[in-house]
Parts: sequence; structure tokens; C-alpha cells
Amino acid sequence: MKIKNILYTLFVVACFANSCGKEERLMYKDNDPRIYFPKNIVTNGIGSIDSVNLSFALDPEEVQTDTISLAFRIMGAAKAYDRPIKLELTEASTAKMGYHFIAKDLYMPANAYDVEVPIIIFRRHGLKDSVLRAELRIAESEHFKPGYDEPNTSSRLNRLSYNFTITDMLTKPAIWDARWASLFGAYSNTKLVYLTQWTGYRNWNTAVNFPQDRNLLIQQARLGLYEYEQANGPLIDENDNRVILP
Amino acid sequence: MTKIMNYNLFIASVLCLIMSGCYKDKGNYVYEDVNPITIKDEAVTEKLFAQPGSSLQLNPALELNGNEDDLSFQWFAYLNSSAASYSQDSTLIATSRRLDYIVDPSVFTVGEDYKLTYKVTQKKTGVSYFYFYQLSVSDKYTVGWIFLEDKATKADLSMISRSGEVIHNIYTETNPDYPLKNPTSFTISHESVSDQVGRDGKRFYITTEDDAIELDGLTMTKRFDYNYLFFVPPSLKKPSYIGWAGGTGNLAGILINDGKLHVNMVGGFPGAKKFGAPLSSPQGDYDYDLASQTISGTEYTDLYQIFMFDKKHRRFFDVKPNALRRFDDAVQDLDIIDLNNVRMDLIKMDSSHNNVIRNAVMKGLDNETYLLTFKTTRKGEETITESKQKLNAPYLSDALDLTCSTLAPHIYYAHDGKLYRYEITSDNYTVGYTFPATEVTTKIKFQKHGYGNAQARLIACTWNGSEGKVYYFKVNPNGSIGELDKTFTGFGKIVDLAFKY
Repeated sequence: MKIKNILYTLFVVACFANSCGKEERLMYKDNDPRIYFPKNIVTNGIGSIDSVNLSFALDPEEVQTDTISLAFRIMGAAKAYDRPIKLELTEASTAKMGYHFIAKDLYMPANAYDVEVPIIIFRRHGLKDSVLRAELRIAESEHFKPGYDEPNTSSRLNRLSYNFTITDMLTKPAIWDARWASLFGAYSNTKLVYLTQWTGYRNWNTAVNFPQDRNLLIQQARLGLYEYEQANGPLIDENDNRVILP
Repeated sequence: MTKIMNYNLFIASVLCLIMSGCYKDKGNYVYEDVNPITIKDEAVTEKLFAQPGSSLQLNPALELNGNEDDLSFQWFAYLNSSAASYSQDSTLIATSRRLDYIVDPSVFTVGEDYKLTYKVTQKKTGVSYFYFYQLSVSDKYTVGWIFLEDKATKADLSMISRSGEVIHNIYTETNPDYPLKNPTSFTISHESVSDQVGRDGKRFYITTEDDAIELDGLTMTKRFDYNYLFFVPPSLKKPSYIGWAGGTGNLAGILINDGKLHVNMVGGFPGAKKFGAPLSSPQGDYDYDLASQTISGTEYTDLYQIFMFDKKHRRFFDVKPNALRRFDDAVQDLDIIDLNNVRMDLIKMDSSHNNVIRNAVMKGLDNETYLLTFKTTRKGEETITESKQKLNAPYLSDALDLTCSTLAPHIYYAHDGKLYRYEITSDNYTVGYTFPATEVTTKIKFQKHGYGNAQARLIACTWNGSEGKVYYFKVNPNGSIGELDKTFTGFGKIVDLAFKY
């Protein structure tokens, strides 16, 4: 009975005393390095959107390459040496790594936690009549496993995937109806070529949101169309319709 | 049994000891009384203004139970700007009971606001009391009328301050490296502009026949070249007017180059705002030639924020940030006037004594003078065109300038040495003053609160071929031209004026 009571007492005191103990910090285990595309926010220039639709169609002939940047961020501690990153193309991809594009300096530099890697896109002849698709996935390598993942959403791929398309064909920008039609009216390839010439803007898959910038675009476009018509008469598009701006 | 009881008591004691650590201390609530101090300064009821190098004297009153021997005093200055760091240090500028301080330019920057803190500390208790002043550090060009002058070989600015001090040669002395000549227009925006290009504040522009600049309103030095005002500068540099228009909270920059309108739309959205490409006419062409003036709406919600006039086709435009619009027939009474085809030349657009009605003094094709009045907004189905009235105002169409009263239905103008007041309601005129025979009136302006809220001022600028003069007239409550209050001399030929405040 006595021993029981002493044990009981010691147990109660130990329970109280235990609450005073300091917990160890919860640290990421350093033997499990991983890597992912940071996507949700752009901080200090690091971060990337999901997909790029890249077109050479509006570029002059002398432009033979273009570059996009892929951002990577690691999980775990930085290392004192450069660590290669491994990317793979899915089977659905039609673009070929090493021919249509290359990833330059595809490694995490020493002592770094994030990096932006340039992807150089080549203007190959076959792009004149096709749109090629690259679906990049982070693959496991000697240095990194695929890292922080999450399900795809309607507006964003997961953090292990990055897609882009490349073409040399003039195509209707995917956001035309949603973002440009209210400013420039109905789409035609001819209109897009001349809008690019008049406004100097060429990234038509990226919306311009601020009023002063949108005003500038429509003002330049109207002036450009007016001057064209003064010199050449009405501008007729590929569908035999007159190019007009609302 | 006793052992068990002892043992249970022991356990209870241990638990009580442990639990007692959680018991809250009752504390010591016996405070010592302190001698409170109240600080007041009834001599300062609003923001202080000071210039670098000037004397700043403050004498706040202290109310305390005792004498001031046990007190220490400190005066601190904090930069009170939205751009200032939250962790900024204060600057101790004095440790005296009263402040008698020469504003040090190494501490205070022109154009910035400061919080001036007066700290009074009881040495015995260490308790401090505070009193705050708002201080704005400005230059000598703070408030007053600024005049743009054509001095034959150069443009210049002069100023008449609120106290009546005249400062000449402002532009030429502050901008010796960028002389201007043949000036045409000087404007100051009526509201602060936030364009994320220059520092937030009012915008000042000088326009000449072939150039224009934005001025820094504090130092009156050139801030931006003409081309810098545009996203893409026009190939032909031919400005005639730059200013800001629109009702409250609806500002838009207005720039006329080669007769065409460029607009700068600002607002709360991010990014730099500059003037864009010229706006096309409602027909989609650029076949128009704007008069170098504009008139604005009043409220943010006004249907029409900015009116401008096309000299070439004799029509008004409803100016939107990205388009020139015509006026719908439904908003006009075409029996009065068709704003899209007025068939008259514009002499001047101006405000009126009714804050929702605007005046347009016109010269008809019959060489008669007319007054058009229109509203800047409409309720329900009402029209905005108010009236068209032929004016019995001799020489009005030949006057170099005119101004409309914002107190009463009067138009003031000068011709052939005579200063006229025309009364719209009675269609009658009087001559209120006669200038020396050699003087021609180049500009005239009505200032509603020229002598405080009680009395208006009429400002007439004259030129005798070698010297410009400025006349200040008091305007009587009935609108008649009152006594000549002051005459200022030593100006060049005044081509424009604006009030800085």
C-alpha cells in the first residue's frame, strides 16, 4: 500500500513537472531533400505561374529564341555544393527537350534555397504549322525527391508540374474574348498583327488590367488604324472583313 | 491509519504547493499621487508653417500645482509623412521651456510635414506629459497668385503672396539652365494628383508655343520635360495647354498638342500614369482642333466631368478618359442649342454663380456675343442645355479676356482702357474703372474669396508696352466693381495666372 501511494505521488508530481519541460524544435529532417515549383506567390522575384503559351508569330524573322524562367524552391537545408535538378516530360508532351527547348543551368546552386532556371525555346521550322506542348514534371534524382505537392486546381497545376506551349503560328489568344474583345472588338489574325505593330504590345495571352494601360493601348490602336486607312484605305482581314475598333 | 492520513495530508500539501504557483498575486495597489500637468497653446489653433532659416517661436502654457523648477523640457521633431519609416528616430531640437528655434534645413525638408512634440518631465517622479503641434515646412511660394509673364526674350513667373509681398523673376532665378520663351499657359491642378511618376501633390505646368514643362510646386524648379509627361511622346511638339480637370475625385490630366487631346487618367490603381496617345473624335478621325481651355463638372457623380470645344467644327465634346464623346440629343434641348453643332466660336468657358451651371461666352457668325449655359449633370429626363442669350455687352467679343462671377450673374471684362461689369439678368452693363490710356488689359480673374469669405476680388492684369501691372479691385456684395485696393508693378506682359494654395 505504501509503495503504491509513493508511486502514485511520484506519478502526479512527474505529471506536473513534465509541463515545465522545454520541447525540442520541430525541424525538417535533412536526409530527405525535396524540390518543387513555388507557385502561389512571387516573393523576391521567386515564383512562377503555371503555363505559358509562347508564340513567335509576331516576332521578326531574326528572332530565333525566346526564354522563360522556371522557379524552384527546396525543402530541407541548403548544401555547400551545386545539386542538379531532374525534369521529365510526360508522354503527352509533343515538344522535345534538347531540340525545341533546353533548360540551362538546371541545378540548385550551392547555399541556395531557390533558383530561377532559364528555359531557352528555339524557333524550329516545324512550329510554323503546329502548336507543341511541353508538360514538365519534377522527377526524383540523386539529390532531390519531388517535393511539396497539392492537388491541381482550376487555375493552377500542382507544384510538381509546369506546362507550356510553343508555336510560330498566329493563333487567337486564349483570353481574347474575356479580356481583349471589350477593347478591340472581334478577333482576326490581321487585327492582331496590326495591333502588335501599333501598340508595341505582343504578350496577348497576358491581360492588361490597369485603366491607364488599357487606355493607352486603345488610343494607340485607334491612331494606328486611322493613319493606316489614311494611307491605304480600309484594312481588310483574312476573312474579308474590314478591321474596325469599337 | 494515522500513517495513511499523514500520507494523504502530505500529498494534499504537495498539490497545494504546486497549485499555489498558479494563484494570482494581489499586487500592490497603493499608488503615490503625482502632480498632474496640463499643457495648452491657445495661440496655435491650426497647422504651423515655417520656412527653412526662419524663426519658430512657441510658448505653450503649463498648468500645474507648484512651480516649474522641477521640470525638464524637450522639443522633438518627427517626419510625419506617409513615406516615413515607422522606426524613424526623432530629432531633439531644443530643451528649453519655450521654443525659440531657427528652422534648420539639415533637419527639416521643404515640402514635408512634421509632428513637433513638446515633452515636459517631472524630474522627481519621471512622469512625462506631451503636447503636439503639426508643422509644415514650406518655402516662400506657399500661397498667392502666380503670374506667367512674357518678357520678350524669356518666360518668367512672379508671385503676389497673400500678404501682398511681390516676388519677381521666380522662374528665371530658379531655372537658369532651362530658359523658356513665348509662354502661353500656366496651370495648377485644383486637387492633389497621385500618378506614381512625381511626388503626390498639385501639378504645375508652364506651356509655351513649342515647349512645356512640369514644375515642382514647392521649389518652382523644372521637374519634368514635356516628352517625359507621355507614355509615348508625339512626333510633333506643339503644346497649347496642360492642366487637370474633372469633378471632385474624378481627376484627369488634359494636354492639348497640335490641337489634339491627350488624357492622363489617374486613380487608386497601381502603376505609373502618364499622358497617352491622342484621342480620336466621335467619328473616329482626328479632324478637330481644340480650344485651349476646359470646364469641369462639380461632383464625382456628375454625368459630364469635362467639357472641351472644337474650334474647327464649332462643337463641344464630352471628354472621357479614353474617348471624345458627342452629346446625345436626348440630353439637349435642341431649340436652345445643339452642343454638337453650335455654329458659334468660343470666347471663353467659365464657371457661373450657380455651381451646377457652366457658362460659355460665344461669338456668333453674326458677330454678336452670346452666352450659353449648360449643366454638368441631369436628373431624370431633364436636359443639360439651359439657355442661349444674346448679350448687350459692348466690345466683349474683342476683349482679350473675361471672367464670370461665381457670386452673382455678372461677367467682367476690359476693353479700350475700360473695365466693364455686365449683368446677365438685366442685360445691362456699367463701366467700373478706367485704366491709364496706355494700358491694355491682358488677363482678368474673379476671386470669390479674395478678401476672406466676406468679399470677392477682381484681378486685372495690364500691359503698357514695357511694363505689366496687376490691379486688385474689391467687388461689392451686389457685384459692382468696388474700390481699387492695390496696384502692383514691375511685371512683364502677363499671359496667364493661377492661384497657389
